[in-house]
Amino acid sequence: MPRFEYLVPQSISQMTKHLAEYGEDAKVIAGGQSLLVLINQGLVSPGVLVSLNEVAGLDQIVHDDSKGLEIGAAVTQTQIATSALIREKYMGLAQAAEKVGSVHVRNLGTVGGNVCHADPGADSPPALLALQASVKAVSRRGERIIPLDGFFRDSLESVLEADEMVTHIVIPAASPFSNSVYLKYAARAVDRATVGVSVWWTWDAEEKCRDIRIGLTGAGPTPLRAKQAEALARGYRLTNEVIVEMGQMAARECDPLSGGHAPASYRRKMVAVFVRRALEQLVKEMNRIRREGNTR
Amino acid sequence: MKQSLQMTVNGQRHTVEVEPWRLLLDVLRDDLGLMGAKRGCGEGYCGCCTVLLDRKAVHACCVLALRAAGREITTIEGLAVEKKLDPLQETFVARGATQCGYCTPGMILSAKALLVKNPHPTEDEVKIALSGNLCRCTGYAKIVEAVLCAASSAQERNL
Repeated sequence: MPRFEYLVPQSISQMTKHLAEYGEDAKVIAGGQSLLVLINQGLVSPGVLVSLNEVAGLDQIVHDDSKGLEIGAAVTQTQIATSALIREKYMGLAQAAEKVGSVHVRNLGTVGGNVCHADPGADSPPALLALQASVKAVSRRGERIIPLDGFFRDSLESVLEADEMVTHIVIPAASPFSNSVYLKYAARAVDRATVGVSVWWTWDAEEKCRDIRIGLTGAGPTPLRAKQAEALARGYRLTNEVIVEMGQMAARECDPLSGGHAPASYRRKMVAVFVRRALEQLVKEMNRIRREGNTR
Repeated sequence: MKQSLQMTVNGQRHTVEVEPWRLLLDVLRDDLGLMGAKRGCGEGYCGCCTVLLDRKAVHACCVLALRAAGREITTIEGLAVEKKLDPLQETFVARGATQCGYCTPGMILSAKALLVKNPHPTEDEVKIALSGNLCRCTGYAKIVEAVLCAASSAQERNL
């Protein structure tokens, strides 16, 4: 195991002070379920690990009906997957959380870490992209809100500066007549996604799509939105024809890499299949919600 | 460089001096002599290193020892009470759910964490709880059976 210093600050200001001081030599550690593996494998060797686990409040999920959801950077995937609130209002995110690795990984791994690690096969990012999430990034220089659509730069790279840390993930308030889903396709349950698809949408009284966002993982060098496929849906009913066309469009517009159980051509085909399945499931659930008169 | 680490392991308080880069797995094995948790992949896949951290299953190869400060660790050595095996251990023996034994401590601890939280799991819930533990001998069927059997005999005892 390579050697490093381990700092456990108690506040965000102490944290950002350490990050400003050590710069590129420091890495923020939360659950450590990705970072410690990279260190074990010798792929990264930071001189300093700065833990955010003892910073007060970062392990909280805070919800406000008008402002939406704020998830602290130390919130674990198990917390997300078992939160009644998230299961009710942001189902796609809960489904992504329960598909990350194994129970062991979810007990320590955080949604903030899953985002910052920027793995192109990670489960949380597509769900968060579909929910139009942003991250709150803090440094000595101030605070900025970075929309997740634009956060990822390349495989394992984000736009975060060396002296910045993500303190929260922010998701807009859930609108009525909306729903979300995450479907994962992987060789084994504990693997990263070969392909993962998350869809959020909202419908009107005529069951036409008012707005929709599709997040993909395993379908490019970074998690990404399938914006051309989304455009096919807005203003229309999600008939079988529209759904099939959207799947094909998403497969065309994504940019998968080869490797990790699947060549790019196969991932592309699976994007078409899983976009279609996700949409079929959402239409089925809309019908159920309308039957039950539930205005979620 | 060493820091003082206080933690409770199998009900006993320990203070160990550790360097910050030491992994929980290595401190348990090399400093405390608890050899039940095994080193396998070192990447959080195989689950041979499973221990309970505040009653939750974790991969001890992917946890810094200092993260355990002030917390409670349970290893396989801590399950038996006064040489009386835990019912899960008994059913693993009775059902022939072990072969080489390398994965067994991890399997039993993952199952223990499940049963503490959910005493009457379905077969699917057992499989999900064990998805972070690989076994290269048994084919898993008897392991899942043993966990379900331990859960149902616990239910009978409580009737």
